[in-house]
Amino acid sequence: MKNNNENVFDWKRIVLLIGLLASFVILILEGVDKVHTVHLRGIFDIVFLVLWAVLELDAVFRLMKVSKEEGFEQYRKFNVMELIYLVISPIALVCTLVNPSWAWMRWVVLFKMQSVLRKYNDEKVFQVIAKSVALILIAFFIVPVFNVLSVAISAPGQIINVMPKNIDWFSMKYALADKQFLRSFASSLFIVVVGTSIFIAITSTAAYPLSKPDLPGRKWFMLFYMITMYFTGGMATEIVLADALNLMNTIWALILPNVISVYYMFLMKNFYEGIPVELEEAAKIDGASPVYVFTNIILPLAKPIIATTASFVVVNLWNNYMSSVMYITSNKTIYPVQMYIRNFLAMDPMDIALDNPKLLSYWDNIEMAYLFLAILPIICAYPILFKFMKGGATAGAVKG
Amino acid sequence: LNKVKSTRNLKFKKYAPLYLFFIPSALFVLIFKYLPMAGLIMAFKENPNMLAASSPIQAILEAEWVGLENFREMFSDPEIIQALKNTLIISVQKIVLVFPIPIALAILINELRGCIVKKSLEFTMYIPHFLSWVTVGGIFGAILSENTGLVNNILEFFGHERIAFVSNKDTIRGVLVTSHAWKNIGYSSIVYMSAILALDTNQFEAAKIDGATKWQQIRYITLPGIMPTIAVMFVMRVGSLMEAGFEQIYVMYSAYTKETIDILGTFTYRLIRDSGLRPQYALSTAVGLFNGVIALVLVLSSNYLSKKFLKSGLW
Repeated sequence: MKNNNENVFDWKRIVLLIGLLASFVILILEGVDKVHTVHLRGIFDIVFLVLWAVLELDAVFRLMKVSKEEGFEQYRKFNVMELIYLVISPIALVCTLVNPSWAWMRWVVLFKMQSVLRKYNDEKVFQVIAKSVALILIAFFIVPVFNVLSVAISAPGQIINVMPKNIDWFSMKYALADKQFLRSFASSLFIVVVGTSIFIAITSTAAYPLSKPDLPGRKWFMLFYMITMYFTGGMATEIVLADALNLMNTIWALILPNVISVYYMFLMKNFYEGIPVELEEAAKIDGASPVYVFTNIILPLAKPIIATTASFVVVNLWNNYMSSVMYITSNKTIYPVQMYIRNFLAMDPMDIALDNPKLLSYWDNIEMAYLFLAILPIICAYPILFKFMKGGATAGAVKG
Repeated sequence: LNKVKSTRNLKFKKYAPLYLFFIPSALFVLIFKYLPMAGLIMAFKENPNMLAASSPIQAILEAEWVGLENFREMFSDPEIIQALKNTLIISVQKIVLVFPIPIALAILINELRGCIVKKSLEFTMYIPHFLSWVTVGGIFGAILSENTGLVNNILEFFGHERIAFVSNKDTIRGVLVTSHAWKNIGYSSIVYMSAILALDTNQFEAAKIDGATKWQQIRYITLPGIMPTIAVMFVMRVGSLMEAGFEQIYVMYSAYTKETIDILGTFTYRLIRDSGLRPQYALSTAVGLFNGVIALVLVLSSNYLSKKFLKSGLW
């Protein structure tokens, strides 16, 4: 609530904001930094005391002013935080002066934030805060991934934080020369292509009859599929099944158990339901068979949802390593990329470095080179995935 | 009645060819989802001797019935009790610490004006969701590494000691929660973003005219507006309490951290694959069944509650 009064005392709100920010900086430095500002501790304490005095005085003045004009009830109603600050902060401060290990109590200054920021109720200030938070988040999401690339293409034995230093392609070359690793890409590719094809074939068909609201027994079919979303036999039974079907240590064990996705089937069903019935009826009057209607009318119209779900199935199959963990015990030549990476990261460098000591110094970089190459396909496909995601693939859960 | 019957017959005739469309997927579901459920009888039998019998199925059928013996063994094993505890602790930590973040993230993105920062945040925040747990585990292993990791470099810069986050049983749960957050908060915020977009913009305009601050708008319009979504998501999240994240833990798991992050999932796996002895199929099935039944009860009851009190549920 902006009024002229506050504009007149503009300098006051600026002082308060700077005081608050300075208190935060001091608190953060005191809490986090143990090297660069240790010798400033005494000064920090004094500055903090002064800032506290300013903030506390402001709180007292406000209390007096508001309760005189509008009554204490009114003050309490809108300034709970400040009231807490007013009462607690002197106690907290005394405590921290008596016992320095209670310094965390000074964070009570957080309670003052609301009353200071209230004077900055304009879009600009809010945007500055929101944007800084957003930038921190962007760094949080992107820096770990970027770090992998940087380490992968840097010379060994340096501290790499974000940017690569002394570019050295040895690790990348080593990873790319690993025939087993390249074969794992072929394996993954096979799994993804075959698995996604089967997924599209069996899911897009089953969703069609489910999308007919008056299909006799539709409810039972829904239930039949839905149960599998919430209850499974568990790992032991699945392993025994793969054993019984002679799938153990074959690439089919990495495909067949993973191609059915009831969740995506229901997404498709929901999409089919949105296709106008008139289109089908017209074809049926012309004597078209259901198969013809499905392949020539429904499927072309359902391309968007098929593309969306298929792209997510591609990612799931590409990222799947549980199947390898469960079903592959001896035949390591069919390991997909994820499983190969997992085993590689778990390896002891000493075993490999015996005949090539150079590898030992490069080991961290080599690991990151492998990791980066495993991420690369996802990063390349990401713009497409992002588009599908924005398209709202998550909309409409399972409602039957 | 005859008429009803005849219309039903007519309907059936009309749709008869459509049932053929179910066959391929039904086969897959029967074989890969329902057959394993039949295998749950193992939980009530003694451990099948796979090597002696002609086939695994034969071995299961030949094994003696032991009633609830496997479950008795399960509850007398302190390791399993510890695994159950860990499952619940890790799950609860993930819910309490990570669940609110996507809500805040969605509100933040909704409030951001201007293109570049907003777009780049939206573009980057889904990336981790598409990475596999193997690679996420590798990335976190790298940036948390004791000797070269980014996080430890920062800690050292400020004069703290380097910490072996990943191989320390006290810090590993923090790593689990953090990497879980890193991978999922972007993706989970989508549902809240669409809920916010569905809100009535007139309300915000009116609030602005009345002089409401941004904070007040968020607190009194946005949050109450998306509260039904939040409640449903929360109920559903609680429904999946028994999934503490097997894939995640399996990649980060080591002998040092076994005590604090061995969950029921990893335990059932080890009973079959890492025991070094005869695989304990029966006990593993029993633990899995126990886990599955609790999970099912949780999902059903949370869905029931959500439908009853929030008028919306999973089905």
